[in-house]
Amino acid sequence: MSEDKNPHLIDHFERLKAILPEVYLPVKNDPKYTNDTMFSLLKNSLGVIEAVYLQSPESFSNTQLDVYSNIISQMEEMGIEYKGNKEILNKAANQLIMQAKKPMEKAGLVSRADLGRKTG
Amino acid sequence: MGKVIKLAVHTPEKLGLKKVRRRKRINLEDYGQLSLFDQDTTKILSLPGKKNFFEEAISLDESGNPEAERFYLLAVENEESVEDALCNLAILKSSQDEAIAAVDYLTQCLKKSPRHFEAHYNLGNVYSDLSNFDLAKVHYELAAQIAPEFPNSFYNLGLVLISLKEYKRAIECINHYVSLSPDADTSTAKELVNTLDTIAQ
Repeated sequence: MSEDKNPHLIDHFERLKAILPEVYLPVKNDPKYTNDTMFSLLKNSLGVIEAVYLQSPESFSNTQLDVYSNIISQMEEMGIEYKGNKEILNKAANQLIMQAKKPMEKAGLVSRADLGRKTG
Repeated sequence: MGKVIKLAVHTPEKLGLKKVRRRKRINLEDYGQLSLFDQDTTKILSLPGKKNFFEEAISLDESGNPEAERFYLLAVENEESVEDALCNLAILKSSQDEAIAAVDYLTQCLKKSPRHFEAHYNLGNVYSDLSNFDLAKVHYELAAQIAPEFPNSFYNLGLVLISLKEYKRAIECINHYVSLSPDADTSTAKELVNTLDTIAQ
């Protein structure tokens, strides 16, 4: 018990705690409280990221787009409802699709007639 | 009376083609000479023919040697396979994440040879890396028109069309890629077509 508390009220509050324990549960240990706080922090952080993107979309590298879309999909897997920025998610999806493309072709290596037989 | 004398009969030697046989080697030392030149280990080495700058650049490029870039530039300077050298310089630049330089080399190549297949195909790749799908589509389409037997142009065009949400055409292109590549592993492409089928419906 800390010294700055009113000694006359201590007994009174102790009695209240015994009668209404749910009101006096330490809030910080409540998992729901922790989850809600974490979600709120995450939402705010994502909001900042989206604002930065809207200000200068070209400043976002492909890796950053990928990381953002991964965060959103992980949130979805965890059951957290968060739509995310559609434009960033589209860009990330397109980038993922294009990663599967066939590589560039060197010139002067094969004759055009061989091209049909060449597959990547 | 005369006496009949029997002559020895020699079967005539067979005429016709004759095989060349190895002659038995004479040991010169049996005749009091030193066999100074009798060395079986002597090999005839063939010296490499003189390559031009472009050929040298290609072989350096194939072995991943960074000197390739210098030789491609020398090829351009000496007007040896200029279009191909410019095109390959673009690939090197693209691998160094220098997309603008890659576009520059490829457009220089197309200025010299507007129907250069590899330049169009590679421009498609560079533009899709830059997320410019409209331009990528144009160049893949041109590459497919110039070399319709090359399957990869159709595959990459299909992917670009997915990004542009033109699913029906994307399915056609990827199916065409599959038909042009009977020996390649097309399982991913087929899976992609199945997924697109469900999206397009």
